[in-house]
Amino acid sequence: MPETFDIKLFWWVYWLYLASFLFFTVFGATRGVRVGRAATWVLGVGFVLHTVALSWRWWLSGHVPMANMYEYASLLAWFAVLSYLYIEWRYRKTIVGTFVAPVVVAVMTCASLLPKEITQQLMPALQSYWLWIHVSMAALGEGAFLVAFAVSVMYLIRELREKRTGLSEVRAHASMRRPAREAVAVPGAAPGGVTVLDVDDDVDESIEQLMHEVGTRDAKRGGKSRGSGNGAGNDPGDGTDGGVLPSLRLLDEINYRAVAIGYPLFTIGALFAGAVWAYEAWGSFWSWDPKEVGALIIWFFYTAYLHARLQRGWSGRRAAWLSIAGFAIVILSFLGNLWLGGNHAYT
Amino acid sequence: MQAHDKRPRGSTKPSDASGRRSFRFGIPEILFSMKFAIWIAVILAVTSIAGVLVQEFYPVRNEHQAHQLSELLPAPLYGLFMALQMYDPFRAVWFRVLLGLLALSLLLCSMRNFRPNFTQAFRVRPLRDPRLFAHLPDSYRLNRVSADLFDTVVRGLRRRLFFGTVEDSAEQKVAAFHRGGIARAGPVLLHVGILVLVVGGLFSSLVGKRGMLIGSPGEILALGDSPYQLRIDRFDIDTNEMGQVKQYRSLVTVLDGDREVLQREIEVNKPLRFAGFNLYQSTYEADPSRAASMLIRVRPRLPQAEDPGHGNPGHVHTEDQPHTTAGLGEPIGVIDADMQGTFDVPGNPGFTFRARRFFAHLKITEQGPVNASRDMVNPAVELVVLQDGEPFAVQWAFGRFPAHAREELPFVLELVDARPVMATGLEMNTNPGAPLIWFGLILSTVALVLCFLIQHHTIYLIAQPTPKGWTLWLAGRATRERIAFSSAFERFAREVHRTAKRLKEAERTSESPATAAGQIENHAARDAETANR
Repeated sequence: MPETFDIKLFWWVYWLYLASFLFFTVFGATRGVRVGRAATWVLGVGFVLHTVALSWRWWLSGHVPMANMYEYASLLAWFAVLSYLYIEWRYRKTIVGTFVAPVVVAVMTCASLLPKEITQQLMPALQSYWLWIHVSMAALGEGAFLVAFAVSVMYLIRELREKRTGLSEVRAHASMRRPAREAVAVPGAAPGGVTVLDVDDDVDESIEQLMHEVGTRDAKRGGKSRGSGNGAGNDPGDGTDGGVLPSLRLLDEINYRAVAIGYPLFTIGALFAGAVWAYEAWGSFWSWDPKEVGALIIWFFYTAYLHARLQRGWSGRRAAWLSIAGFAIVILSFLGNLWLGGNHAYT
Repeated sequence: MQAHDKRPRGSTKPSDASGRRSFRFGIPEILFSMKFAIWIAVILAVTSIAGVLVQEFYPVRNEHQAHQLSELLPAPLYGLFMALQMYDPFRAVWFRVLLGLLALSLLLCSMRNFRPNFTQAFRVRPLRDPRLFAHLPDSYRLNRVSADLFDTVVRGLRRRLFFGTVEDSAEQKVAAFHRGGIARAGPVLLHVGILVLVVGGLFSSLVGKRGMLIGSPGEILALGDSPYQLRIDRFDIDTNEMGQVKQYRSLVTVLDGDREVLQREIEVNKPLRFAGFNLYQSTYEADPSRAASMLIRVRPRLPQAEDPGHGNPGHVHTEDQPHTTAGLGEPIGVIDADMQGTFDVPGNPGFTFRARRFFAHLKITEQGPVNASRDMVNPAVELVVLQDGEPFAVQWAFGRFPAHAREELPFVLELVDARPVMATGLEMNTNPGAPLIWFGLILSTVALVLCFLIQHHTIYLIAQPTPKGWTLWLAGRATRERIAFSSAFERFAREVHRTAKRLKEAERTSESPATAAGQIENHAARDAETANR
């Protein structure tokens, strides 16, 4: 069967993502600003072509390209790249690409191995607007889990590096304390106490300095602050060996934020919308189908993650390991479709 | 070991002095704990995976498969397998008990957290001691500020829909404001929503009924144990130009005795709900006993009939149907026949025929001819030949073995092709837990929005007079995204400080502080808005 234009484009996108991955690897090693920019640009061009490929396939098949595993994997990679480009635009953290790009390439490789023929005739059960809602939200949720996974790997690498160089997170956080802190003799008080601002002082300067140290202003303003380090707009550093990686605190927060975005999307899209659709198509909200069981286990896991974090205060390394394990379950659930049957066997 | 060491992790109520495990509502504390819920979830996850794998690789749907498995497994293990209903664990009692325990855990967790969560959602308490501000991650103290600064900040916060309380006494002024407090109710509502979902699902699985209705057009089927019946009026399969199925649908009529109650078309994704029953277009299959169309070829029988049956594997020996393998001439016509009509035999005036019985997969048993399967393996049709409208003879026509003839007939009817009638497969069920499940889905969705899209920000203020002016303490707290909140709160503090300077300056130059106050209101409002975002 001759390759359709969208599949030709898919291969172009695949090679561009692979090239971008190589650029990001060089960037991670050399921290060269131009290499970082090139990596992002190549990824961006790949993303544009990927968008065209998906749209073309949509037009060719006459239905949203979410009807089989190849289309789902391709869409997942598209969402992951979109998430990275958003982070790059919002936070100027080019280094995140070093960790997102290999995962994107891995997902695209998965997609490349799957049958790519266009399903001209969508089977009757899939002819529903719920296909849109269910699949796209599930893919978005899993895309967010993918970002949490990549950021968690970064967290563990940075933490390992800090251990090797003898710098602790406590010290890193200590550098973020405000100027002119007033010690307060309260048992169990947070270190640092209250920031004192005297009305006769020119506090703006001290706060400018403070915000620069915290390193969050770049994040909020797209890296336009002065002294923002290298030209690639990376983290200005937190006074430790941070180098090109963002601070542990920021990585931990992005990890949590990605899960906090992915969890409701996955819950509503994969579980709730899927259940409603199943009720409309098959007569029962839940039928313990292999894919449903996989989704339920993913949900159980990320529910446990959130409880551990919010109730037990699991953050940092523990949360990073949980995110990595969670995404492993997502991948297992995805690949499980290749061997297991059930109501989702056609995907 | 000390008494409190025995307390289960996650419990909020300590054991008593004697070391006994504490109870709440007469229920052991362990049942309230997160650890209990996680263990139930882990067991559910593991057993679900086991159930899926067993159903996939070692299905036990009939006696043959059960026998195969009994030979594969040691006897005790096989006994345990069957006792635990591992061939379909999701409908086993122990699995439902596990789901019930999960529901219990959710219920107890919701009971424990309901009041504190809702209290925090709608009420905020001020901090009256400035030393407590040191506990908060974002706290500032402004010295020697104007007496108006406190009220100005409070007005600014109120204008931006921050809600809270202000206490004014001779010693100090205190205030606490918050926005997005409803987010605090999200977790408990989510627990309740999931609880309702589990209860609804359990209720449906215990009380609900399931069944499959398979029928061809014209058939009337019983609708469960209700007084209603379902008549299949039509069943259509739409295909595209490549023969792929596009859609299939059934036109059905609900009957109450002889009375037609309603007529409706059922499609995939478009079920019919009637009198508590849900009817879904689930599948379709061939009706092996009815032909939608048949091609019957007519040949003249030549005079020299041979000895019947010898060497012909397609012979059917029945008592009342002697037959022969005829010497045949060239075909004189092909008739597109069906099971309803009566058709003329070309070249044989006065002769007609009609189909009496059809078999897609004919097999002769002691009870007579039956269908061995639904597939078109050995199609055959029993034809009644009429002369001048009166029954004259009966002839069988076989798809795979043509050229069977009756001696008394001057022609042979051959079955060239046949297409069976397609029977619709409608899944019928009752889902008494559906209203609960719908409610649980809606509640959980709302709760997820509250939990993850709305943030709860709290701002505390204390102002105390000192000999050199007033001292203002500012502190903020966010439930999530604390780095972003810290950044925004710092900008807020900077604006407050800037305005404090303006107010002070205004006091020094004896100007009206109104202009500066207006500015602080605007700045405070804007920054509070930023912080909230």
